[in-house]
Amino acid sequence: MGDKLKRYAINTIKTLILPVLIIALFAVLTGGRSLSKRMLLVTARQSVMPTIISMALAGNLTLGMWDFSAGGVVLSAAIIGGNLMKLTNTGTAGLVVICLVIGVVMTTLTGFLNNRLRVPTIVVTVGLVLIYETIPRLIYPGGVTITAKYTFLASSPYCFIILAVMFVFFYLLYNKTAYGHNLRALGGSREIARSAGLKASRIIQTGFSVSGIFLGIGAVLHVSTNGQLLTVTALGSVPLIFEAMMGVFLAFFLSRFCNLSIALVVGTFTMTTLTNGLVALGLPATMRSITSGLFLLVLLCISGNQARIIKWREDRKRARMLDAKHNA
Amino acid sequence: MKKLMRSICLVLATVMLLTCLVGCGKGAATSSTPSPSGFATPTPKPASDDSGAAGGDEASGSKIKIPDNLPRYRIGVMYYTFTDKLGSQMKNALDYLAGTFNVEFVYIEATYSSEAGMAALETTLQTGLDGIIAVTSGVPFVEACKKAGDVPCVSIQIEPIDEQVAKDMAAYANYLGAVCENDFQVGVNAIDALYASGVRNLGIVGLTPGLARSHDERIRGVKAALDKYSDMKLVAEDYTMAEYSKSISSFAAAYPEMDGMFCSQGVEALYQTMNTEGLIGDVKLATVDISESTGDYFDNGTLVSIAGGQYGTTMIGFAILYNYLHDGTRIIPDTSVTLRRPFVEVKSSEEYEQYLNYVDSTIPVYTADEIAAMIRGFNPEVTFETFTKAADGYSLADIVSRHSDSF
Amino acid sequence: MLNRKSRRKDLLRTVIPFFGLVFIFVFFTLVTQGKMLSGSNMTNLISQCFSVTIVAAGASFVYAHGGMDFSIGPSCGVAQLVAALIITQSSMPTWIAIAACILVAVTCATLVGTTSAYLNVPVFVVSLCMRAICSGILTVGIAESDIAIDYARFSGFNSEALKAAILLVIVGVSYYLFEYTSLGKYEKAIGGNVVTAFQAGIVVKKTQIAAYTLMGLCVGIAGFFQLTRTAGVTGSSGSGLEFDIMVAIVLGGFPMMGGSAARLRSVIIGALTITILSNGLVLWGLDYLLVNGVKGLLFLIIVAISYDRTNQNQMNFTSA
Repeated sequence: MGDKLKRYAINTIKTLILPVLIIALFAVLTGGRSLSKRMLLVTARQSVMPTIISMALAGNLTLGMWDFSAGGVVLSAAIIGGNLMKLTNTGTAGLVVICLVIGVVMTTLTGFLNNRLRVPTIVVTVGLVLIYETIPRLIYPGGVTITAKYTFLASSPYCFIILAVMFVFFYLLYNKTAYGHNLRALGGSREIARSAGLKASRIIQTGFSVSGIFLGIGAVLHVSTNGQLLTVTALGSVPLIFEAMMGVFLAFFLSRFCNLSIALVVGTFTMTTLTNGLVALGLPATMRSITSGLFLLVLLCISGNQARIIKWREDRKRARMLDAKHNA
Repeated sequence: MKKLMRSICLVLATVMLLTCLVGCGKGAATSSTPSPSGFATPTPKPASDDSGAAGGDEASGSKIKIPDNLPRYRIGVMYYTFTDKLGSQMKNALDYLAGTFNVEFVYIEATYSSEAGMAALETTLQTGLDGIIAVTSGVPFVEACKKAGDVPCVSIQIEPIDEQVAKDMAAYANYLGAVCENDFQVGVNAIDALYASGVRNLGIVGLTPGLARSHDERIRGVKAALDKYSDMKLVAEDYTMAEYSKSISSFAAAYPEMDGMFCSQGVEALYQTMNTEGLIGDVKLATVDISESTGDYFDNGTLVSIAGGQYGTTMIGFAILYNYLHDGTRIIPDTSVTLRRPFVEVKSSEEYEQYLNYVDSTIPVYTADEIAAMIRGFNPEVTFETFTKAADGYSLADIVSRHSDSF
Repeated sequence: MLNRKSRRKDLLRTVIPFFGLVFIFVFFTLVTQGKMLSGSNMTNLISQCFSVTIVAAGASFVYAHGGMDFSIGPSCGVAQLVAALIITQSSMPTWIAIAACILVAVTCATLVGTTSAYLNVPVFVVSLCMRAICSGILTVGIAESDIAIDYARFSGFNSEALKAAILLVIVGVSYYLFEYTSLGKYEKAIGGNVVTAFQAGIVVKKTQIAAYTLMGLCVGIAGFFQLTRTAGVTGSSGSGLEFDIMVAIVLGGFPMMGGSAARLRSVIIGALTITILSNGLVLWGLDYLLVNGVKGLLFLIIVAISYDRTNQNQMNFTSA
């Protein structure tokens, strides 16, 4: 029991050390500017949408499938959902329901085509993102504008309530359902999973459809945050998910010490803390992209080579011991 | 059997798609369809008929006779996107003119990629254009038009990056000139307005540098104006396209002393975020591009200055081109000099109401008759001086005075 | 019988993308009433397909071993930026600007390959990080406004004859290296099965890095010609190139996971197909709102018909 508790404590520290260190570092560098309550709240709020989108991406990435159309789904659902909400006069509830439905329908189509065409997901989704971006351009070329009374979901505490709900949903889905277990089994080894009787196409289809729920909620938050969204073209929606993507990669690294659902929250929060710290430091936004890219690269390089680093240190230690023995 | 069925389905899908495309292609051949929510189509009759057309009466105090049987011209219009507010206003304004001047407009979306824009331009020129108005400037643009058969071209809403490029472009016979808003001045005016309202700690958000020169010029104007005021300082700046909301929240958190903001692109996200972050009353705002919430934010004291109405420049660009197409008139004699026009600046909610009525309503900022009055073939009194005076005088008061009888 | 079946499959895989290219060309020639075939449009096509084809030729080595690179676009932009700065801020000769452009692109690509090969980070992740870094560098370098270069000084580089000649040379050399040298064979072997390739004596990591270096060389050349074509560098220079390459790779029937079925001609066919498709849709007069949607739809249909499904393993993005 004591060992278990100790291991739990160590893993908790390992999970949280990164964001804590980054906060502390920038607190020192900015003379406390980045440590204000408001800054932490803003950082937390800004990381909600990317966290939810990262939950959508993580499920598919577990299977080694990259969904490039996620940004297109979020944008389409947000624009069409917002306009339909205004048309039907259904308010925020209507916005949520419509965005969810559109998100699920689109991702179900993605999963269907992925299974039917039997080509890499990355290929299917590059084609689909062009189509998903065009749909709102045809129906609502001017995009969507919604008034402030429908956008409260993006403000606190509502966005955190949404995050909590989606977190619990993701946690239960990924860890406590047969679907989650099957997903991880298939991600581990397709051949073994198939041999064990798992139907890969059904799991993949479910995975995409479920990701649509997260993307639908992401769409609600996206339109609520901005109030107005314009249509894009020529893969203009892809940058929407890059931040979430960075969070997912960091989360996979952190998932060694904690559950993936917690890792996604911590990972995305860490990336947002990093960029806001740079803002507080007065660095231009362009430096943020360089710093985030470098930070993630260095972190993943270290994590990918931990065994080699440990071996290198042990070799050095042994060499020093032998030297000392020889000199003695 | 399954594979055969699959192949048949795919072939059928391809055939269906191609059939749809045939329909789309034919439908798209006439590109200037009247915009359903755009400007009222003027009655394409000579102004002397006094038919009470939505285009209004004569311009410049004299009746302009627009012939009925004008030759048909095919004019390309290239802009970043026609689905945003400004792009749709531009398209509506041109569609409005299409009937009177018997013009078919072919719209080309350049996006923000210069390579993709270049490819789209070259290809559209191949479809046979009589002229082109484009939000691009530079020798490659003029060269591409020259290669396509000396197609006359006008740059709108962007100017040559420096004097040397302007001279190089002016050396081309098919280049008719550039007309753009005075983005630098609008940046200066914004800072002056913010300073006058008491702002001393400024934040700037804008488009990524290098994507759109007009935005870069606005920021240059802002920074030049900042140098005038020793007690006004820049506390934060961010130039990440489509992340204004995030930037403003971060600024608000990191720099509580910030009491004013300039944004080079006035999107709704600005207002939304200021509301969410509780900045109303604490932070003043100046921006460009007028949107739906403008009136509300004048009322609550947030907005001190906003500029818009840029689509008028497109109409002037059309006038420059049409002068040449009609009878070879080069209304701008020295094409190395850019014709700079003011924005429509709005400084109160009353002015915003006027803006809604006179700029963003059924009648565009220039009626068909007023544009016709700028064409020497219809109005022999037009000179470069009168032309530029009409362009220079552009303001909300000017539009109101010209169109007050129309409402 | 098995041999006949696999030969038929191979033939179909080769023939379908080629027929797709011919079909699209003939289709657009007919619907545009011959404008597709006009001299001026053909010269435009040379300019428009130049960058994509050259970079695709280089990228084929990377995709042949199962790699990929999402930083092609931003690194092309940074390469153009460096060249533009040398041209505008110094009096160095043009060849130095060209060399610098190529060197920057090669460095970026080699860094991606080296980091992925030696540091056990999935290439997908490395290339995304490099993409973020290069985008930031490009924007920092642009500073206040786009950078213009003297168009007349470099007008020679815009000659279609020169571009056609360079294209032929690069495609020819790439074809030779890919199909007739050990480099190409090793890349395909690694794509087929990396363990088997290693056991066969191939120095896997160095071969993978060599592919990225070669791709970087092509990106640098294409970057310089893009710079002279647009006479300037903007914040979006090079953007979208990596997706164009991916589309070209797929449209040509080139297996994304690499392997022995990889053929350089597939990539060239794919690059030409995407160029003709983009050109043809605009020439035809398709509404600007529809162009990209139709492109996406056609892409999916062509992929559905022509993609090689024999190697079913998905790329694993979460481990090296």
